[in-house]
Amino acid sequence: MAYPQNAVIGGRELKDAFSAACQCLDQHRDALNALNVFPVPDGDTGTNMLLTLRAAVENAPGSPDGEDAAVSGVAAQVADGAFWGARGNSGVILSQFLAGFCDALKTVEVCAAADLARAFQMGAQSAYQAVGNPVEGTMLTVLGAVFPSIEKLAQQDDATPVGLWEVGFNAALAALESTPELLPVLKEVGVVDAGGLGIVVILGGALDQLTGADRLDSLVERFESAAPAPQALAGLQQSGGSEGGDHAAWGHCIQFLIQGEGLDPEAIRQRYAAMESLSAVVAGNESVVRLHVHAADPEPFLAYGRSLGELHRISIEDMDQQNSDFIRDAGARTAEPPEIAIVAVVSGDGLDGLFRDTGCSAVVSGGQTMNPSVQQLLDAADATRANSVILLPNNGNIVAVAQQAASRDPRLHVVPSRSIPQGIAALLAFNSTNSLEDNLDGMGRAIAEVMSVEVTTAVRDTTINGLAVRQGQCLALTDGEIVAADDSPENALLGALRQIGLASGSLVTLYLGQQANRPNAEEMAAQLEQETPEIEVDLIYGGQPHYHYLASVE
Amino acid sequence: MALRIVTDSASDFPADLFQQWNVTVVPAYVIVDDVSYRDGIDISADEFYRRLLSATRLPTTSQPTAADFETVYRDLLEQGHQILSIHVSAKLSGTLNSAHQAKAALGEDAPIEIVDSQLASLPMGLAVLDAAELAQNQESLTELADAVRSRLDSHQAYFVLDTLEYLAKGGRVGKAAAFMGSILSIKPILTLQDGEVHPVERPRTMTKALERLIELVSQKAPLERVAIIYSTDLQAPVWLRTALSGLADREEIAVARFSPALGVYVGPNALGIAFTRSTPGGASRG
Repeated sequence: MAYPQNAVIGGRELKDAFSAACQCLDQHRDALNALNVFPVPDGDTGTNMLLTLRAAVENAPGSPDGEDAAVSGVAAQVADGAFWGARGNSGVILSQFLAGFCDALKTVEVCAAADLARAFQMGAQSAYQAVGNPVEGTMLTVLGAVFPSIEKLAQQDDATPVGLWEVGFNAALAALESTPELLPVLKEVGVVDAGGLGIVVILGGALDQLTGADRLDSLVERFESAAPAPQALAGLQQSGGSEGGDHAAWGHCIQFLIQGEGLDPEAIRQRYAAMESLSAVVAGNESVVRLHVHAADPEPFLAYGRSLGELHRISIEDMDQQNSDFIRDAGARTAEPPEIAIVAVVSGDGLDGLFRDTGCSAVVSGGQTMNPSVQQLLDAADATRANSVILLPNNGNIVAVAQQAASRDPRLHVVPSRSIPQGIAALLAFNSTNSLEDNLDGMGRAIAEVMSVEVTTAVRDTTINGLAVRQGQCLALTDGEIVAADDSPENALLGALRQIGLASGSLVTLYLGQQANRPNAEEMAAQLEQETPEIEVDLIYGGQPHYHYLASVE
Repeated sequence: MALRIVTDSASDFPADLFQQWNVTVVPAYVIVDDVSYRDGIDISADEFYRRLLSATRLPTTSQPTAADFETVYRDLLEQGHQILSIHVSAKLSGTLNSAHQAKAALGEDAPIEIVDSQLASLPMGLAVLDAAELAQNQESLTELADAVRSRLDSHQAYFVLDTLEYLAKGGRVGKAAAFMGSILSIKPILTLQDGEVHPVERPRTMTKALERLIELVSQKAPLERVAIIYSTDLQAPVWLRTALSGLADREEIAVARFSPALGVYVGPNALGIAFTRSTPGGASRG
């Protein structure tokens, strides 16, 4: 037991605890992602939390000579790193928790029991505040359970922070177990909340580091086994989950040099080969190693590189020419920056072009399973050089990140589009000759007026809203609610559209995904036009992953 | 001696109404398949729109010549009239140049006031009608010109086009260029601002566009007049007329048709609602 009797936690210990938590999260992230897939490939909870925590930890390098640092300094670095690195809803909530947690420690040299209790209290408060409409049975419930369990204990004279951490962790574990009771959708599928499990992993990983024990894995095993077995996730991986994703669509060409001491190219190569990539080339010697890799997410590659030494000549090229470098260049070529620019988060080459042609200054690649970070959004917004930037997140999982970005830069404003059709409706409502206020108002109204249908593949058997769905079947969701399932994507879509009840004069715009088959789509469009007189069906290539079809009805 | 109003065919107003008010319309020219027609005289709207759809090359327009204006001005001057000549926005046409050249040819002392309406089409027609009404009770040409200029702001319109293609190819798209380029089908709503075409909204369907047109016009109340204009769709004006009834102080709602010279730019299925906002001293007249 490393620190059982310590009455305080020092800065280095706190940093080590976060680092250990980050490593644990890395080990468990596939399990977290798997839990989170029901019933459609969802937001990569594990990856998002990991990237967020990793950004936090990397921002707190600690003192190289092993001397202890002040808790306040480490806390400030952790909170700042988490803020900038936050990805996805779960990442934003985690970053907000860390913001509150660290804020409580900002004047603390070493962390005593009372300090820790206050940190958990403020962390949970901050996390709840980050969510517009807090839902119990989620990671908020797990975060919120810690402080009440240690509040009284913290006032006792013999209380130690590590002791409190242990009690708090047990409370978080119990709260995690209760999530299916609080959130019916979890119970229906038979899993605990993935984000909640992420919190348990973080707290447990840190606790193991603080106590020198190794208990976490055995404690969370049973929750993770509820997730579909890896082979059952084949559907998800084919449809492009970020952990086995469709690199052809998402690919980045990543190149950089690592400069350091005592580098081991072979060990580095093995490490990189184990990461998700299409190809990895590593060459070099003990002082310089060059890496060239094609992968969905450059971040882990850069992060590992940074952990080894200084990075030079970093080049990240998006195969779809959507990365922020490109955007910056494109922005620089434009003579006059617009007064108001729009930055949208989009995936799919067709949709990318459509958003640009319809008036977007910049498009940030991302979507259902690839959530851009706060920093990426800020970079893209910056590159527009506009006085005001309106962000269109176009996905429920990205709204919070966009709002976080906006909270940091007063030029940024979010129109909270939760789907591509909503984003397009908002974009069409934009008028560069109007004031910012009028535009925000009009765009906000536009997203409320459009009805979105999404067709995707179910990654596991489940029953939702009384609708039995088999893995591999196509699901149709209307404004986020599953309304139809069928073996054919066209029939699932037709089912959803019939339920909406198309009025005469309606316009249905169909955005064909990567997997969609145009002749089938045309046949379906003809059928729709036959069923309802005087409706119009517009077929547009979207090229989006995951979704066979996106549709808007207006 | 009286004050007389001269305008050009871009004012799109029903000819019989203008005759009633002694307004003289100088026609622009429409060139279809290399033949030049006087707008609204040598080629009917029906004939024009039929040929617009079938023509291998898009029709074009040319402004009335200085000689055309000189003829009209000289006629009226010889009858002892003073002239207020009110025309399509200089940003959209060279018509004003022709008018100024004609005035210069007639001598600096000729009693002619030339006004840039900053408008085109039916709202310009309303401005002309307004000027003709004001001229009834005015004796001074300069006072009339001042009154007309000061009231130009109260005439406006919202238009919806089936496509921006004609406006763009005709080089008159102005700031509405921001609405171009998308592969999505849209029904752009446009207005005129500072003498040029200005984008308003991009609804996806004509039904939605017409609803918005009515909302946008209603927001400008109180209104003295409303009037409707169309290019080829005969049904929509009937529907619009019902929807707009009672909105303006003056009950009659004129329905006009985009003259060929405007049709070149708005294309088929274009619609518009023009209106004059109530102004102190305006609403009490008529």
